[in-house]
Amino acid sequence: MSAGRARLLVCGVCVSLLWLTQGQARAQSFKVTLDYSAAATCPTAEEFKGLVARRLGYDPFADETPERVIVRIKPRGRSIDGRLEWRDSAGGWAGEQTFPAVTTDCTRFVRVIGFALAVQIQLLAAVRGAPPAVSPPTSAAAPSAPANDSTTPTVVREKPSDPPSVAVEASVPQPPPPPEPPPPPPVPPPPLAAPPSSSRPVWSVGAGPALGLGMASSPILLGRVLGALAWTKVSIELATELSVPSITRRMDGAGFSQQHVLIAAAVCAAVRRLNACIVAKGGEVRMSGRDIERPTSAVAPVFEAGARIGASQRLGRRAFLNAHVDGLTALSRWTVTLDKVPVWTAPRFAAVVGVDALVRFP
Amino acid sequence: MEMHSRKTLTMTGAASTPAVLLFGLLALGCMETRDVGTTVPHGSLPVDARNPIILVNDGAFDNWQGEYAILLANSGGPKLAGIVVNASGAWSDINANIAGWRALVAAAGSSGMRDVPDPIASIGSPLARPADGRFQSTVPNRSEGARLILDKSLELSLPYRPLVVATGGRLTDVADAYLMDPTVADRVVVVSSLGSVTASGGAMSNPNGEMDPWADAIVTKFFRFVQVSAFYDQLTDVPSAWLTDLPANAFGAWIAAKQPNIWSLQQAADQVAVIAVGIPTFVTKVERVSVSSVVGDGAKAGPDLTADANGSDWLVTKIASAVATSRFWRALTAP
Repeated sequence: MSAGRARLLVCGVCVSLLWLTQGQARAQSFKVTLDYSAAATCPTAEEFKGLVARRLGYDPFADETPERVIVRIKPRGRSIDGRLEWRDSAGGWAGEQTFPAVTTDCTRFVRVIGFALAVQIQLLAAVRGAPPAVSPPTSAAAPSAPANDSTTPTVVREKPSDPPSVAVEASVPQPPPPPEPPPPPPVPPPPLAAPPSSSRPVWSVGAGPALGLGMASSPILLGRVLGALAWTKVSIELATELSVPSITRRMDGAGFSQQHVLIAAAVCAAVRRLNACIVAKGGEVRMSGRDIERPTSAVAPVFEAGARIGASQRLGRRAFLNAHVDGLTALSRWTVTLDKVPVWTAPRFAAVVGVDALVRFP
Repeated sequence: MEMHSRKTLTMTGAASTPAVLLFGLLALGCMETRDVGTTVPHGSLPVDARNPIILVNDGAFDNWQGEYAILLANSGGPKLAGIVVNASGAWSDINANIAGWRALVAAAGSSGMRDVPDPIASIGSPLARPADGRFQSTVPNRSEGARLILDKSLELSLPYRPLVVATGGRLTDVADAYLMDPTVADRVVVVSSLGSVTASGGAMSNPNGEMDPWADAIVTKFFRFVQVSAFYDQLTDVPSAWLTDLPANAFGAWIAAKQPNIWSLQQAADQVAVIAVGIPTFVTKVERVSVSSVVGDGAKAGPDLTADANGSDWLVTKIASAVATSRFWRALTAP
């Protein structure tokens, strides 16, 4: 985890501590049932309960309570995955938080989870004091946290139908120091194509190869350069595409080459790593005769529209790959002739398969 | 009306909007055509060595037409797609004619030459001009040669590369093919060693033109037609002094045996039609001509061809025979 993310977590904790202080009396009455499971090398359930109780100043755990919190801690190679899930009184899913961490020190890691759980319990207790419309604790930091600066804690909140790893930001004007330096903080899953869930869009630029099918008599290689502007679930993309000239020949060896020069626009919706887009392309195809006595050149307009599905894979903090498949309908078609005799006609449908490498800004 | 219907559909419900929109976009799809090249014939004729060729002739011994066609086909020249053998004039015995051509093909094949088709005998009298003088009223022979022309033209002809029918005799089989299927004219170019050059253009007379004047009229009327009326002394192709230079194989033996029988009459050199197609520099002068007369009942020659810059036919008036002889020997002696 980077230093910036650590600062964010610390500040988030500070915000929560303010809430803890303000809602102390109400928290005393809030109880939750704990379902704790961890590896043998990790603290036991009782140790975990004690950890949380010490944070809160009272024991929040009891049996047969309406709310239930499930804690799962699993070592995974050189890291530990921690998960904290809330269930409501009906047993339904009410929220969860994941804690992937690059560490093998489970004791420290459990302290982080315990600390987060203490914050959530305190917040939930405070919310219970609020109007009943407030939902169960789907996030520890989301309620009423004033968004402001960059010193924000990052708490990972996931929901099955939400985009992956949506980060929720909160901040305070003057964050007090945490009671103790936090252990190795959790590493949120990479945001991939979806940017942080602020209203501010994220820019991406990139390039990549693609294979065009149905654009010439044989598959053609395309190069794409693109820029994208992404919000939480929606993004728009603008790209230029240039194909490697492809040659089509008739029986006697005479032929023609054609090269596509296109501008593509897409509007996409993202769900976790997947995205689906509406795509429109326009441009021209440049053609010239080959191996024929009197070659000439020609240009024909190209307009295509269709849909795209894609999947993203993060490569680093800012870089990610986006593999995509476009299905296109040709709105303009052309027939290439030699000696006034048709040699090739653009098909009604085309497809593009490609991979783009992108970098997010900022 | 159609547009109105689409509008109505759009208004019937939001659920159908995407489908209607897609349909509309598809409907907007337009087709454009771009031509990016033109084939130019090698040489001054509308066809060249890239066109497949069918030979039509009678006797096998009076000239080198068959030998030239086989040698060119085996040295980068026109593909030899068929050989039609008929009977006419001095070569009235179809059995003797076909036997001679079969011997030629056998000698070529046993000497390693490839893609030499077996000759077929075509039985058919000269076409009779109908009483009403209309081409469509002509009774076809439905000959074997006509059938081969039809079949090969369908098989091999391309819009930019039509089949060539190179004739060294009467045009009966070609005209017969047209009578059987008029669309053959779109797939075939006829190149004939025929007739003579006149002050105004050309005459479809001796040699070969006089054998079936009505067929001449049909061919010039409906086909793209090239009349080669320039001949040369074909005795210079294989002089007696060069017989010892012939390859020591069956084909060389065939040529050596045939050489004494070659006619010294220049107009007998039917190979000029094949060479005009296969060797681009052979034709040194060609004119555009058009048909300027009709063929009456009892005519002794085909229609006259008159020089016409916009004419639909071609008349070869001068050739370079040395080019042909050189190519003949190069192909004959090449390993």
